[in-house]
Amino acid sequence: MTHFLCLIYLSFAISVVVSATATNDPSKILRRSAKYFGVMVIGSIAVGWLMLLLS
Amino acid sequence: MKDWETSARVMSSRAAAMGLFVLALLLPGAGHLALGRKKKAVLLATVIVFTFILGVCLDGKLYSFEKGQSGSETLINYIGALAGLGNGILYILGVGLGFADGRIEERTFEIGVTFLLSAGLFNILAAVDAYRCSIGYDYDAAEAARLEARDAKKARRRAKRGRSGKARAEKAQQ
Repeated sequence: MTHFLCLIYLSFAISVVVSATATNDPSKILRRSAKYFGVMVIGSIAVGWLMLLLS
Repeated sequence: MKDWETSARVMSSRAAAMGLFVLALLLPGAGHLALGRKKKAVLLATVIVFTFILGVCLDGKLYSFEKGQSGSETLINYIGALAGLGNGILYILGVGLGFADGRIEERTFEIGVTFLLSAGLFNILAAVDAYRCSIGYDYDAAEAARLEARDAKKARRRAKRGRSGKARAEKAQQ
């Protein structure tokens, strides 16, 4: 559970930092970080599920 | 261009911008703060410092430039130390307060290391952004140019596909 929460936080931090350093427009920062965060969470769940299936 | 910081300014020379880059590397958020971008500075500093503190709390290790038992271990140590040094003053504080070794027997050791390295890389990214802001980098123009180049590439590919399709049709007719 700790690892899962840490990875969720890390995804959030990566999405915020990457989008904040790519523009100065606040609405773009918000939209992009939400998009990146969603993609990372869904992607990591999909990869984890696939690995579970393959193991 | 829409900007959330009305008090933002740019540096007059490249040397000043480089000085700002070094300041931003040493102290998370300081580069943006010096440019008058307070909101961005607070956002980046909060994320970087919180990630670093979490990494220390999770018993992560701060890499240093030391020789390992093999070449690959030395390389990993050096890369980790470079990423860790990105934390600037936080790295020095962490080493000074005795958090450098971490606790390898803990289950959270690896995720702690990941957090510490990520915090360093975030700060390097923030410092590069502070440098770009200080020289008056236009994000919107750069993005427009990137999108234009992507569209041109797509159009070229479509035209190429169209030409080859036409050639195939002519060949089939003959």
